[in-house]
Amino acid sequence: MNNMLNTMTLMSITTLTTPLIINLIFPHKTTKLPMYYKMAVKYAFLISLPPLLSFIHTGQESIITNWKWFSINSFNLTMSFKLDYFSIIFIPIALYVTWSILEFSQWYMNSDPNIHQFFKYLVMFLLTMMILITANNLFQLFIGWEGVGIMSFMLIGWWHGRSDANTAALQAILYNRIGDMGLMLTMVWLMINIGLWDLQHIFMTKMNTLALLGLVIAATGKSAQFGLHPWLPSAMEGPTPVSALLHSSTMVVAGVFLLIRFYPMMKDNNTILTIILCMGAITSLFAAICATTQNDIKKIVAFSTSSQLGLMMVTMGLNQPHRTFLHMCTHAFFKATLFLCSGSIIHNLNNEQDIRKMGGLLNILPITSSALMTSSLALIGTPFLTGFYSKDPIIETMNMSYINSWALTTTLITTTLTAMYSLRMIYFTLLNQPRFIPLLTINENHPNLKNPILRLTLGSIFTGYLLTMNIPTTYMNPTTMPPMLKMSTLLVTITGLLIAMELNSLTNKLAAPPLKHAYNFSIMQGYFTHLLHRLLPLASLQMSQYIATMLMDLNWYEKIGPKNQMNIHTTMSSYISSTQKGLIKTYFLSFIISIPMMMILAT
Amino acid sequence: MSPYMLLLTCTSLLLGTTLTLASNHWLTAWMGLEINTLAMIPLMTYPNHSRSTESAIKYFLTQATASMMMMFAIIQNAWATNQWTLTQMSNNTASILMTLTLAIKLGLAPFHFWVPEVTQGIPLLSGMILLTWQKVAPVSIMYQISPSLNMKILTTLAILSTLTGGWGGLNQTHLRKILAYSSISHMGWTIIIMPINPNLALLNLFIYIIITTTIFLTLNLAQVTKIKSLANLWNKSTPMTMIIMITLMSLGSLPPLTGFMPKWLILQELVNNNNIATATLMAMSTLLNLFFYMRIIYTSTLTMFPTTNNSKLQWMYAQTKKTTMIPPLTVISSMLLPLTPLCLTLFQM
Amino acid sequence: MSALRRLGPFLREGGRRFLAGPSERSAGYGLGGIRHAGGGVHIEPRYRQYPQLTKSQVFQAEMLSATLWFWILWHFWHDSDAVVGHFPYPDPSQWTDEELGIPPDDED
Repeated sequence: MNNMLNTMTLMSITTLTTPLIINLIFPHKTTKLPMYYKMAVKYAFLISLPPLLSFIHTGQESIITNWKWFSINSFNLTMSFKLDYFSIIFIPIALYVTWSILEFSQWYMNSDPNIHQFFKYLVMFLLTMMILITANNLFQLFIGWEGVGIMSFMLIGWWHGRSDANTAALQAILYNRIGDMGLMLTMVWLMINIGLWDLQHIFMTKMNTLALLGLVIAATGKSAQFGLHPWLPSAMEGPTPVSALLHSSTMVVAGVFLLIRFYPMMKDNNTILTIILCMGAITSLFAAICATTQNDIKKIVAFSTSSQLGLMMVTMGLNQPHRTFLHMCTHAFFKATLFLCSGSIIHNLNNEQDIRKMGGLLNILPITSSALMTSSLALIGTPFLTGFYSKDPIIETMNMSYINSWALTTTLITTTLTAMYSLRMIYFTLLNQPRFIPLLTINENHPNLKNPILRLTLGSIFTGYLLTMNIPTTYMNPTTMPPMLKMSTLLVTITGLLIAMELNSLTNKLAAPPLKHAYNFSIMQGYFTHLLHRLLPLASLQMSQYIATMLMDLNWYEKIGPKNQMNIHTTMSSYISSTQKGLIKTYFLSFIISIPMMMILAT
Repeated sequence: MSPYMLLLTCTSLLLGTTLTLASNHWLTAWMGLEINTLAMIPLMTYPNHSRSTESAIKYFLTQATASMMMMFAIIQNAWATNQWTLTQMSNNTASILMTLTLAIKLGLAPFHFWVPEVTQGIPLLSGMILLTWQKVAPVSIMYQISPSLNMKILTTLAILSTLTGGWGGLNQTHLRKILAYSSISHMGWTIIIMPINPNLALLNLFIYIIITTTIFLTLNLAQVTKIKSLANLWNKSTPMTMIIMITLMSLGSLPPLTGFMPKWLILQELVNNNNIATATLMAMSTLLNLFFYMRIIYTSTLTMFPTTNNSKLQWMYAQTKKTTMIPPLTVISSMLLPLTPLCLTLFQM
Repeated sequence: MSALRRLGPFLREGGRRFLAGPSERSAGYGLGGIRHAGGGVHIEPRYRQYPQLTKSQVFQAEMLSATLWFWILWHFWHDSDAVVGHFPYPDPSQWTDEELGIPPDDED
């Protein structure tokens, strides 16, 4: 069994590289490549199922170390894969989701001239994520980490003709770079203080707060936590399949996954746990507030991702890595579905993203509408859908734990807001009368559109249940509580729904002027980008300008450098030539003065 | 000048220096210098006009003063030590005085005033002799008494000379003056190394003489005395522009060329003797020289100044001047660097 | 060798069909490398009215929602304690001192 686990997992990773190799060998035969990519991911998914089943059956974990990269003194780097609970479960999920997304892309990106390249990027994106997930040493993890970063940069900036897409891609890579500093800090700390990068060895030692803080910063950047979050909504400039992949199973969960990987190190460090908890709660609340008023359908979903990532962080702060992981897995399904649905809507409405210009889609796109409804319900944690199985235990655990009540309150408010913005999105897109232009060629019968959405929707109905059934109970501490507390999640969600309905009816009736300050705060995304992307760059650019132009260019390179040289030398030069008057008396004067002087001085 | 007179003068010029080189007695050495000086004066006034006469008089007065002081130093030495042997300059006062005298003869700062003015007034070839051959005799005396020279004075003079040579040449447009300042600066290089390694000083002088001769011969071929006139050189004789460029770069001591060799060795020797500050100062002040050489190169080679069409027709007139010496001298003054070990051996006498 | 070589076309075509998967075959996609504008059923664009839906489309949507509600309701029926709590939670205020083993106030 062990052999099968190792072999098939590696095989499923290797399978992903085959279309890349085909593309390498036949770079011009690109017509069928998108299909090959999709099939490769599909087969990789199928191949990764036996290890999953074997793991569920026997619970056997494994580490593959096969090739020594290099060694510096006592510091060894080997190519090493860690096949533990997290990676074995997450690999099939990522592959399943990506398979659907790739199939969807075949429809969505059909008219793109570089569609094969797009697929290549997506598959490489996935591949780097797999490397990250299976990495057993920090070097390998770093390769995956950076690979995910750079591929997200390429994909977000896919439509590079648009300046918005370019700035969004730059934002993504820059914010991630701040996070990377954190990871590098930790890596360097480990290299200096422990001298090992292998995870199983690191887990036998201890890491101090600084090193763990590096990990938190890394996760903040990658998972778009508060402070480094603005790139995530901006990343909506990329094609919708990219957003789907980015937000479900790759990029943004990488940060959370890093923390999950390192939870043995941080479970005893209360400072770090509190930081993570508070940061997660703030992110969650902030993103939910922003999502409430956004009009761009993808932005709503993006902020909801941000909010859910905050929730995952909160769970990490609760010291519940397995619950975090569960939420990460379930989130992958319904978030991918939401994005594919919005992609379907956007494409069918001729690239219209504004939910105010939608409406009535229930009658036009029945499959998409069902899927959108289902995944939204899963997102808000409707009982027995996927989200319920991960979200409900999180909040219950929170209710039962001794952490600060502020974070609990924040999370409950966030849950309310989740229901609100989900319902608002459904209300504006699916219900009421159509508000889009009257002539539309709407068609959702293409199998490449229909099948992935259906598959993922089924996933977002059942996965939570299946996963929960198969997680060993030893990982989770069961909770028990009074019925009111038990139902608090559900109750706040229902509250959110009611508030949203009331708000929507208010909006339509124009009954009262909106609360301008709160509304502006929400729709301007907390003024965060305006402050951070304007003031700070302005200040630093201004300072740089002063340093560059005044200090360096003007003073150093001009006044002190050449101009000063010129002054010295012209002065000296003209002084020396002015002594040449053609008079013999100057010669003798120089003799008369110099010779006695030197005689006196030298003797 | 009648050919006999020319023959006599030239022979005296050669023999005077030779006498100094060959003598072991102070009196004969001094005599050689005097003969040399006197023989130089007719050569300077060869095309007899007031400028050259003025120059000759200036030269004569300076050299006479120097000779007188030199005699004084010799007598002082003889008085103090009872001997006239050239290498035995053991009296301190006499040694200092001799150093200063030779400095006047070589035209080191602050006794440099005569060099640019005298050179400016005389023909190119006389200038060439003045700046090359005339340095040989004083340097040879200095070489022989180098152990008893006062190092502080020499270093001061050398640094002053390189700086003066650099700064003075910056402001000049006349080629002879520029070369005079270049001479001042090179003499500075020669005597900075004199107390430390006199053989290197000889090497430096030797290479300086070769390069300067090349330049003077080239300029003489074109009969130009101003930078501006060099702008027309290309149609008189195109290869000359190239030769001027390479030779000037060599004079400015750019690495793959001959001129780099002595400076390199001198700097190394200075650094080896813990004179890093001096070495830095010398090297930096030579950059000034390089700058005004570059200006000449720029005018003669890199640009083509707007001229009238008539002046572009010089190439069709036959050359009358002999160019026999220019190519071998150019080769020596530009390609000697690989032969550095050979030169070193040659001068480790 | 020539007999084996004759198997080539079979392998090629079979491999292509295997790689192509079922959905592309039905959509006529990927055959001969021709890309068609859309895929699946063609729906006529309409002006100022809802587009015509295919039966399978409606059916699949209804099935999806039916599955959703069936799943939720079935679980509510069989597994409702996941939502409302596992057992009647005791009310601490009803506990008596005797049950808690607290001696009466006037014991001393």
